[in-house]
Amino acid sequence: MRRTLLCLTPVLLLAAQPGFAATESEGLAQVKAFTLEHNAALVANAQKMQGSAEAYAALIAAHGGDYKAAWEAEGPKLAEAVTAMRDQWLAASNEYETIEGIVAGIPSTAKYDLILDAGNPGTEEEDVAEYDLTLPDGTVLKRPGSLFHSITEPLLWGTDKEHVKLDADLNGDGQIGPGELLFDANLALGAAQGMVEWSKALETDMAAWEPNRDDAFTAVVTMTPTVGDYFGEWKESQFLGGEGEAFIARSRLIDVLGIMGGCQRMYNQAISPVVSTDDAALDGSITKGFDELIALVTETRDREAKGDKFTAEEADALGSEAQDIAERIVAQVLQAAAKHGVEIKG
Amino acid sequence: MKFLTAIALLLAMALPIHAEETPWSAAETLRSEAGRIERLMYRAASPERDADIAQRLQYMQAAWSATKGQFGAAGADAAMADYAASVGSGDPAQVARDRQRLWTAVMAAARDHGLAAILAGQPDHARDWLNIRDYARASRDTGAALAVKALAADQLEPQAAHDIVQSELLTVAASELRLALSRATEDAGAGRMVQYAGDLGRAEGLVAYLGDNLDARLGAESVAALRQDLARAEQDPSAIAAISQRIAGYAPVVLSPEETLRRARLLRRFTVMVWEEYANGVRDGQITQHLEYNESLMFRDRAVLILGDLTPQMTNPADAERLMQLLDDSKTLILQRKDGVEPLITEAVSLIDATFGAEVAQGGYAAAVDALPAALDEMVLVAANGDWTEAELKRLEAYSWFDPDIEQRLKPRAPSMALRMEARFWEGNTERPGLARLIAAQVPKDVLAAEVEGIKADLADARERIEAPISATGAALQSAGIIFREGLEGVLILAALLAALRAEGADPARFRRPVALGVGLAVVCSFALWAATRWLFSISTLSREALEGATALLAAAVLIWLVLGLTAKGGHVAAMRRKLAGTATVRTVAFLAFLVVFREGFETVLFYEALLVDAAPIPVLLGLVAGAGAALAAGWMILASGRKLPLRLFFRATSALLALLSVVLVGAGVRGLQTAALISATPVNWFPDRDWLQLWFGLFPVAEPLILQGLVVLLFLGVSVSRQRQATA
Repeated sequence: MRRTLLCLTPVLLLAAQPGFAATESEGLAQVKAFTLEHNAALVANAQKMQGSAEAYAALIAAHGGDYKAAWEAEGPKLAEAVTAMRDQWLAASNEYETIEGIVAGIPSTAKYDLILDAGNPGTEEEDVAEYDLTLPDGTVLKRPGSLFHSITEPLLWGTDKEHVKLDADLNGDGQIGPGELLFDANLALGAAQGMVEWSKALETDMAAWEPNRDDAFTAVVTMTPTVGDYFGEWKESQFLGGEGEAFIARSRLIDVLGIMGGCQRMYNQAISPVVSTDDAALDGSITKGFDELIALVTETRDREAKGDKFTAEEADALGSEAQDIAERIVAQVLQAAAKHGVEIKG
Repeated sequence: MKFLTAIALLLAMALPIHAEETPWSAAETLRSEAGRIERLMYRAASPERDADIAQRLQYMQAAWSATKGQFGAAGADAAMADYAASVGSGDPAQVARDRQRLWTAVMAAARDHGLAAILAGQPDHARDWLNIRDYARASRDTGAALAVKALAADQLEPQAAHDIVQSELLTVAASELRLALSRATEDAGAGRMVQYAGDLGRAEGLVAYLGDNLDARLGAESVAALRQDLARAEQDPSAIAAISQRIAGYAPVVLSPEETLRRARLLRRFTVMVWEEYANGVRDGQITQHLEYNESLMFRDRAVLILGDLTPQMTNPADAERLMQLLDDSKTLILQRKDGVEPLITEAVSLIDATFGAEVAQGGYAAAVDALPAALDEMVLVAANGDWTEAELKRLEAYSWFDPDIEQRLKPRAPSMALRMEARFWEGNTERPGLARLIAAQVPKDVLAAEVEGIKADLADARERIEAPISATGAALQSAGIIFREGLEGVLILAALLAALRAEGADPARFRRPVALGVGLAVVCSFALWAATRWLFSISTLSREALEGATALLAAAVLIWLVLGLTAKGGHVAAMRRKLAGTATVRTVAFLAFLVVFREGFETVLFYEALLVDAAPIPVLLGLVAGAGAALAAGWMILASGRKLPLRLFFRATSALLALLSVVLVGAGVRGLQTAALISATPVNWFPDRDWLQLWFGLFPVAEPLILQGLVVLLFLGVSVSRQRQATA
C-alpha cells in the first residue's frame, strides 16, 4: 500500500497514468481503443487545419497569388489564418505524440510514423517516408519527408526560407519579429490535405490491427530506447542554446513524454498481465522503471517550461539517467520475452 | 506540483511499512529514490528541495530497515549508512558516489541469496532475488532467466543452473565495470565531476561485487594495486587509465565458442552501424538528423561494451588495443562532426573479420534463424507501404538467409522439406503461390503476411529437425544419403557413356584417363571454390544457384550432343563408329565428366561442412565411404551388364538412360537459373507435385523446365523416328 502510494506521484496523477488491465486481451483492446481515440482527434485537428489552410489559400488566390496585395487588403484575416494553422498544428501534433510510441512500435503501422512524424525525405538513405505529396496546383513532391517535421513545421514557422512569401507583422505590434511571415499557400494546403489523408489511413489500419503479444513486446522494446535520442536532440536544441540549427516548434521533451507514455501504456495494459503471472517482482520493477522514466521527463519538462536553466552537466546527467533507465526497462522486458517465447520483430 | 508531491510523500511516510514489503520491492525503492535525490542535488539549494530530499531519504531508510534482516548483509547495511551520511552532508559528488556503492552492495547481497536458492532447488525464491541485478545492455543475454525457468521445470540441475546464472551476472558486472571506467574518463575530460564521482563509485562497487573472481583471475596483488588506483582516482582522474589497463585482459568466465561468435557478430554489426548512422546524421560538419547522429554514438558505445567482453578471448592483445583505439578515435571525430570516420570503421571491421574469422561476416546458422523472420517481416512492411521493388529485394535478402545457412543444415536431414521451403520463397505451387509470385502480383498485405507466417511455421519445424541431437548412426546415414543423392547422377552418366562406348567397340582405356582427369579436376575445383569463398571472396546465394544451373545446362547440352551422336543411324554399327569418331572425343568425354561432377561438387562440400557442425567426423566419413560405394556399385552394375546383355539391347538401354539423365540435367539447370532469379517460374497444376520426382528426376511442377524438358524429349523422339525411317528406306 505504502509502496503503491509512493508510486502515485503527482506527476503521474496529472499525466493520467495508464491503468493496469485484468487480462492480456483486455489490455490489448484498451491500448487499441486509446490509440483510435487519439487518432480520431488527430484527424479532427488535421481537418481543422485543412479548413484554415483553405481559407488562407482562398485569400491569397483572391489577389491573384500576390501575397503583398493580399496582406495589404486582408492582413487581419491572413494573420488569423496563420495563427489558427499553428494552433491546430500543435493540437494535431499533441494527439499524434500521445500515440506515437504505439504507432511506431507496431510493425504494421510503423510506416505512418515515418510519413506523419519521423520520416526522412527521399534524399536520405534511411527511414524514408514512402509517399508522394500532390499539391493543389498539380505539383507532385516525390518523397518529401514527414508531414509534421519535414514540411509543415518549417513551413508554418518560416524556417523553410524557400517557401516564405512575405515578412508580415502578424501580431500587429509594429515590428516584424521572428516567425512573422506569410508562407506558400499551395504547399500549406497540400500538406494539410496530406495530413488528413494519412491520419485517416492510419486510422483505417489501426482499426484493422489485430492486437497481439508479439507486437506489444516489440513496440516497447523498439521505442523505449529512443528516449536517449530525443534527449540528445533536446540538449542540442534552442532551449539550451545549443548549436543545433533546426527550429523546433516545441520542446522535444514533449515528444519524449508522448512516446514514453505510449510505451508505458502498452506495458501496463498489454504486457504486465503476462509478466505478472510468473514473475511479480520483475513486473513490479518494470512498472517502477516506467514511473521513474516518466517522472524524470515530466519534471525536466516542467522546469523547462518554467524557464529554469540547466547546466551542461545537469542536462547531460538527465540524458544519461533517462537512457540508463530505458535500457534497464528494455533488458527486463527482453527477459520476460525470452521466458514467454515472444518474438521481437524487426 | 510540489504540493502534490509533498502530499504523496507524506501519505507514504504516514503509513507503516506493510508486511508484504519484500527485499526486491525495497531494492527498487532504494534504486529509484536514490536517482531522484541525485537529480535534486543538481538544483540550487532551497528549503523545499532539502525537505524533498530528506523525505525521500527517510523513505529509503524505512524500506531498508524493514528488509535488511532478509538481506542479512553487513556490507549493504554499511553502504546505506554511508549514503545517508552523504545526503546529510549535501555534497552532490559524494551522494552520487555513495548511491552507486549502495546499489552494487545490495546487488551483491541479492546475488548471494539468489545463487544459494538455486543450489537449494528453490527457483521461485531465486527468481525473486535475481530481480535485484544489472542486465546486459549490448549483448542482451537472457540465459540466466531461462536457466531459472528450466530449473523450475526440472529440466536443469541446480548446479548447472547456478553456473549459468553466476556466469551471466559476473559477465554483466565486468562489462558494467568497463563502462563505468569509460564514462569516468569522458566525464572527467568534460569537467562533469558529479557524474565522475558516480562513475567512480560504480567502479568501486563493481570491483567489490567481482571481488573473489577478480582475485582468482588477476591475483590478489594485482587487485590490491587496482584498489589503490581506485582510491587515487578520487583525487586524480588520470588513475582511471591505469585501472582500465589492469582489467584489459580480465574475463570473469571463459566464453563458449558459440557465445564468442555471437558477441563477435554483434561487435561487427554495431561497428558497421556507427558509420552508417553517422553518414545519415551528419553532412558537411552539421547534424542533419539528430536521431541518426545520436545512434551512431550509441552503437559506438555498445561496440566498446562488447569488445570489452571479447578482449580476453583475443589471442593478440595488440589487435584488441587497436580496435579500442579505432573506436575511441571514431567517437572523437563523431563528437566533433568531422570527416574520417569511415576509414576508421572500415579498418575496425577488417580487423574484426581477421580476428574472429569469416564466419562472423557470413552470418551462419544462428544469425540466419534470427535474421530470416526479421527480413520477412520487413518485406511485409515495405510491401504494405506499396514499395514492391523494395519488397522484392527484401525477399531475396530473406532467401539469402535461408540458402545457404539454413538449407544446407536442413537438406541432409530432410531433403524434401528443404525443397518445399525453397519453393515457398519462389513460385510456390498453383494452390499456394510463393513469395516471388505474391510480390509480382502485388497481392493484399494480409495474403503476403499469411504466406510469411506459413514460412515461419516451416522454419520452426526446420529448426526442430536441425537442432535435434544427431546420433552416430544418423550421421552416417545422412552422410551416405548426401553422397549417394548428389553423386548417383554423375556416376550413372559416366558409367552409361563408357558402357555405350565399349559396346560400340571403342577402346575403354582411351577414355579411362580423361574421365578420371575430369572427375579429379572437378573435385579439386569444388574444394578450391569452397576454400576461395571461405577465405578470399564471397559468393552470393543467387550467384551460386546461377553457377549450378548454368553448369547443369552446359552438361545437358554436351550429353544431348553425345547421345545424338551415339544413336546416329540407329544401330548401323559402321556408321555409328564413324560418327563416334567425330563426337565422342577424349576431350568431350573429359569435359562432360568435369561438368557432371563439378555441378554438384561445390554444393556437396557445403553439405558436408554443415553436417560436420553437428556430427563427429568418423561416422560422417563412414557414411561417405558407404554412400560413394553404393553409387559406384550402381555404375559398376551398368558396366557389368554390358558384358551379359545382347549388344543391341544394351546399347538401346544405355542410350535411353543417358537421354533420361540429360532430361534430368535440363530440369535441374533451368531450376537453378530460376532460383537465381534469372528466368521466371510459372507453377502448373497438371503435373504431379511429388518430392521424389523433384529430388531424383529433376521434374518440377513448373512450366519453364517442363517445357524445355519436353522439347528435349521431342528432339530425341524426332531424331529417333527420322533415323528409323532412313534405315527402313
